[in-house]
Amino acid sequence: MNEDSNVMLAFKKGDEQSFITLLGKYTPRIVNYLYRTTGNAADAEDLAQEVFARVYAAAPRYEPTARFSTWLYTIATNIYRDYIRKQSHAPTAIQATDSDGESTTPEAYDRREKSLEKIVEDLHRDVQIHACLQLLPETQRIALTLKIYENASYEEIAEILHTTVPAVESLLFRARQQLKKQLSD
Amino acid sequence: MNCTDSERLLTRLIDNELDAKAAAEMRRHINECPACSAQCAAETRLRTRLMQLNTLSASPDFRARFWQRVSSDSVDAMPLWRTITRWVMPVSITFSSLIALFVITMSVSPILYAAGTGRDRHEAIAAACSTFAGWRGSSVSGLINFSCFCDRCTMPACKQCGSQEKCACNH
Repeated sequence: MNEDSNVMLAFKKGDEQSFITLLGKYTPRIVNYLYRTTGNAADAEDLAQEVFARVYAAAPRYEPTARFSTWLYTIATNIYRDYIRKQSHAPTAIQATDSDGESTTPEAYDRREKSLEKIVEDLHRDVQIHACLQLLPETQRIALTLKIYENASYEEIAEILHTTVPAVESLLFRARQQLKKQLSD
Repeated sequence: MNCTDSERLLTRLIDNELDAKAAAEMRRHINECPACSAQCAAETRLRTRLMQLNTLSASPDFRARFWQRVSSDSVDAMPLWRTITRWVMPVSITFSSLIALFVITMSVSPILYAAGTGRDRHEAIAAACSTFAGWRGSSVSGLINFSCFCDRCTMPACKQCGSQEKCACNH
């Protein structure tokens, strides 16, 4: 049983501080995972709220049958898939505005001291990568995001996606082939 | 190792999913094969480019909004498990206790009555039936449908019980 599972079990027994610890540790990771898969910062935060609300409500039933992170990302992936079903099925370009029409991209980034040219260059690169990720089929996008950005193992990705390791390898191979083609165009 | 194997295992190598021995073999082949070396370089460039994607920071009020949501969720719709533990279980336990007390009382009181009065068990049960007959005539009439508890009665009514269920019991 890993450390985070023990922390979650402590929360199950009534220690609210344990949940706050998990919230602090996993908020950036879950928000970014959902941002890279949805392409929309505002939606990513709303979905992340839903993820942690489900974790909070599920505490009495929690059993550490898998790593805590695997369980958490499974919840996040299911919520993301529900979100996709409610959206259009057509591949979308990056959505740089929230539901009020306000641009989210410039304010959302963790900005350091940069020149204007560097900021523009970074934004252009990010927009391009986000757009290419959004053009991937949903399952390839999830698998690639989990591997590249969350450093999940093939076994963990297979568990989250309810599939096999060879299927995960195939998803990653095809995702990379498509990205290489798009980013070189 | 040949180029076919190398192509198949390249993704695993880039993703650090190969064991040490297989990884060493792959690297040896890549160093010797220009085509596989070029392919490995292309995969590594792609990974590096993807990793350059900026990290998003959660908004400063993320936690406050989360706790507000949890609070309103708990007011609007108490989780089912909490409903069960807070209300249903105590009521169930109380009700079950009352039924158990009733059953025990009905089982023990004829014995005590018999022991106290010297009458036999049958007479004690008859006396209990008589009590219930009285209850039946009161507000619980119609709600409690009982037959005589007398184990000697073979007919519905019992003269000695006074139960409205008739029995031909020759006591």
